[in-house]
Amino acid sequence: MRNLTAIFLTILFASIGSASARESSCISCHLSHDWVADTTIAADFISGDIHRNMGLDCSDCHGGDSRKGFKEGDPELAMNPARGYKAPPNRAGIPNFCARCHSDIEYMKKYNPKLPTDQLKLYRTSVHGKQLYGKNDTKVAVCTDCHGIHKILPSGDSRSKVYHNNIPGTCKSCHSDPGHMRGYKYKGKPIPTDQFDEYSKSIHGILVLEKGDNAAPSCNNCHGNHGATPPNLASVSAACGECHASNRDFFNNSPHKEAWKEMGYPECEQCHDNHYIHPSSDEMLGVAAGSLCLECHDDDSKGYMAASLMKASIDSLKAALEISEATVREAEVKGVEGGQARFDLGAAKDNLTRVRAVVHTFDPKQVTEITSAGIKTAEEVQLTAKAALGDIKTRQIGLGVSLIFILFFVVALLRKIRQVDKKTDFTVGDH
Amino acid sequence: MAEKNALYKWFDERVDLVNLEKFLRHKTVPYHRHSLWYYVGGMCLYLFIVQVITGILLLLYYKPTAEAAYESVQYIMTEVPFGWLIRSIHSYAANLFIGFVFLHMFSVFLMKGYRKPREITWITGALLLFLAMGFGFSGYLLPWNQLAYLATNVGTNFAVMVPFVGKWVLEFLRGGTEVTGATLTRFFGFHVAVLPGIATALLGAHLLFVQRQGMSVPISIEKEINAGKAKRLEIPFFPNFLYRDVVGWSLAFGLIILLSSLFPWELGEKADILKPAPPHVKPEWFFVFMYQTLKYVPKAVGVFGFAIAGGIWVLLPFFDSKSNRGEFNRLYTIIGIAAVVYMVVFTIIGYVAPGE
Repeated sequence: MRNLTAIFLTILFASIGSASARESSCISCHLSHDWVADTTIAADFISGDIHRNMGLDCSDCHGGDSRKGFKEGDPELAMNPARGYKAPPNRAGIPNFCARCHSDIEYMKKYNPKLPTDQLKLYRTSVHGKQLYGKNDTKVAVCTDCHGIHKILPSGDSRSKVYHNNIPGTCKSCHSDPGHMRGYKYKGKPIPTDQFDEYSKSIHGILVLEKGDNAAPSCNNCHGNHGATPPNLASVSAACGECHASNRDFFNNSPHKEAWKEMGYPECEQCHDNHYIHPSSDEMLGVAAGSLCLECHDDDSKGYMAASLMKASIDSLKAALEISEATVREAEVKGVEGGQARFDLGAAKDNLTRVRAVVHTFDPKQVTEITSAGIKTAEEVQLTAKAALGDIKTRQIGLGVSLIFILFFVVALLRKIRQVDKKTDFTVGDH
Repeated sequence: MAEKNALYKWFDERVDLVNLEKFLRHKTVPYHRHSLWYYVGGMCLYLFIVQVITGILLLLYYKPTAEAAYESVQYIMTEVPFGWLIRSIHSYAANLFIGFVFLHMFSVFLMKGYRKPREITWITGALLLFLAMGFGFSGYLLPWNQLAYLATNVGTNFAVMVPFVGKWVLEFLRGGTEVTGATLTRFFGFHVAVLPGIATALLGAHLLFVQRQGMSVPISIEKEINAGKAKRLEIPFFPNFLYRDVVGWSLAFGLIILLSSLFPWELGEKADILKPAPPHVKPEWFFVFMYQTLKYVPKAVGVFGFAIAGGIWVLLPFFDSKSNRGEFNRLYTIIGIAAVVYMVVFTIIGYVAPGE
C-alpha cells in the first residue's frame, strides 16, 4: 500500500514538476517511508527545483543508476559505486561538488548560456571561501546555505532565498546571529551583527524590504555575492557610484577626494554611513547644528564658509520654488493657469535635483550657478502665475462695467413698466 | 415697413400669426398681493435656458474622460475666449436654478397651487425638481476635480441602501464598483443626453398645462373675491407681465455676473483616485439636508424614508382633498413650513456641525 502511495506521489509530483523529467527510482524510494525516514529531500526536489525543471535527475549530481533499485526492491542497485555513485559531499566539499557543472562553460551553455561559470573562482576570493579553504572553517556559507539544497530556485524567482529582495534575509540568517558570528573579526575587531537591523532602517532597506523595489541595492550589490567581501575604503565609493554615478564623479573631482584619502576617510560612507544609509537631506550641509560639515570644518575656515554659502544658496532656491509653487497652485485652482507655468516650474525644480548632486563638488561657485538659474526660472514662473491671477482683477472690472449696463437696463425697464401699467386697466375683462 | 408687412404676411399665411398675436394680447395673469411668486416659475425657465445655452458652448471643448476632462475644463478656462465666463455662468446659474426650483415648488405648495385641476402640473413640476437635482449631481463630477470626485463617491454610496437592487443601482451609476473614468463618462451621458431629453418632455408638458389652465389663484384671495372683499384683477401677459419677468431675469443675470467676477468658479485640484479622502467631505448644498439626516438615522431607514417622502410629495394633490374643495388646509401649510424649516436647519447643521 505504501508503495502504491509512493508511486502515486511520484506520478503526481512528476507531472507538477516537469514533463520531461526522467523516471527516477531514487525519487520513488525517497518518497516512501518504507525506505527513508525523511521524504522531504525528494519532495523538495520534484516540487520546482531548477535542476529538475531542466530535466536533470538525482544521478546527474550523485551518480549511480536512477533507473534501477525501486522495482527490484534493492536500493544498492541505484546507489552503486560501480555506476559512479558518490555519497553526498560534506560542507567543505559542496562548492567543488556544484562547480563540477557550474564551472563547466560548455556544459552550462546547454542549460543557460547567460549564467556565469566563475562562481567557484569568485567564491575562493571571498571571505567565506578564504575561511573555508584557508582555515578549514566549515561554519562559513557554502553554496547550499544561500541557494538551498534540493529545492534550488532560480535567482529571479521571488521565492528564492537569493531573489534580490530576499538576500538581506538570507545574509541575516548568519550575520545577525551573535552565536554564529562569535570569533569572527574584521581588522582586529569583532564583526558586528547589527547590519541587517541598520540596513532595514536605511533608505535602501526600506525600498527593498518594505516597498519591494528591486532596483534599490541589496547586500550583494555592494559586497558582491559569490565573491562577497567587506569593501575596502576605495571600493565603498565604487559600489555607491555604480548607481550614484554623478555624485561619484563630482566627488572624485572635488577637493575632498585627496583630503579624505590622506585622512583615511571612507568617502561616501563618511557622511552617509554604510548599512544605515539615511535618506539624504539638505540639513546635512551647512553650518547649522547637526550639519556634517561642522564635524571637520572649524568656524571661519574656508570649508566652513563654503558650506555656509552652498547651504544658503540651496535654501534660497527652495524658498523661491516654494513661493512659485504656491502661486502656480493658486492660479491652477482658480482656473487661470493652463499648464505652461507648471511646466516651467518643473524645469526650475530640476535645478534643485541637479544641485543636490553638484553639491558633491563642494564648490560654492558651481552650486550657486545652478541655484541662481533655478531661482531665475522660479521667479519668472511666479511672475507668469501672478499675471494670470491678475487677469481675475481685469475680469472683475470688465464684468463690473457690464453690471452697470444691466442695472441701467433694469431701471429703464421699470420706468417702461410704470408707463405701460398707467395705460392698463387691471380689472378682469377690461383689457 | 412694407417689407415687414410682407414678411409678417408670409409667416401669417403659414403659422397664423394674427391668431398668435391676438392670443398674446388677451393672455392675462392673475394680479394680487401674492403675484410676486408667479415670476419664480419664469425665472426657473429662464435659468434652464441659460444652462442649455452655456452647456452647449461648454460641450464644444469638454472631453468626458478621466484622462482629459480636467485638462479640457482647464483649457476652457484659460485658452478659450470667455470660456472662464461661460463656465462660471453655467456653474452659478445651475445653483440658482436649483434654488429657484425649490422656491417655486414651496411657493406653489403654500399657495396650494397644486389643487384640482392642476395635479398634473404639480406632478411634472415635482419630477422636474428631481431632474434638476440629477442635473446638479451629474454635472458636479464633470470637471473631474478632487472635491467632485469625493462628493460623487459619498453621493453614489447611498444607492446601496436601495432595497434589493442597491448594489445593482450603485454599479449602474458608477459603471463599476468604484467611481472611475467609467462613472465620469456615464454621468456625462446622463447630464447632456438622458436628463435633458426627459426634462424637455416634462417641461413641455408642464408649460402646456400652465398655458391651458392659467395661473392658480390662492384660496385666500379667491375667498376674498367671492366675499366681495376684493376685486378680481388680471395683468396682461404681454407686455406688462413679460416686462416684469425680464426685470427679474436681468437681475438674476446681473447676480450671476457679479458672482462670476467676485468669486470665479474654481477648478480645484485634479481628481486623484489614490489620494485618501479628507475629513468632512460633503455633497452639494442641495443634498446636505439629506446627508445630515442620514447621520442621525440608520442609513437604510433614511434612504427609504426619503424615497417614500419624495413619492408622497409628488402625489400630494391626491391627498389634499380639502384644498381640492377650495377650503383652506392649515395642516398642509404647517407641513410645508415644517419641511422648509427642516431642510434649512439640517442644511445649516450640515455645514456648521463637525463632519464624520
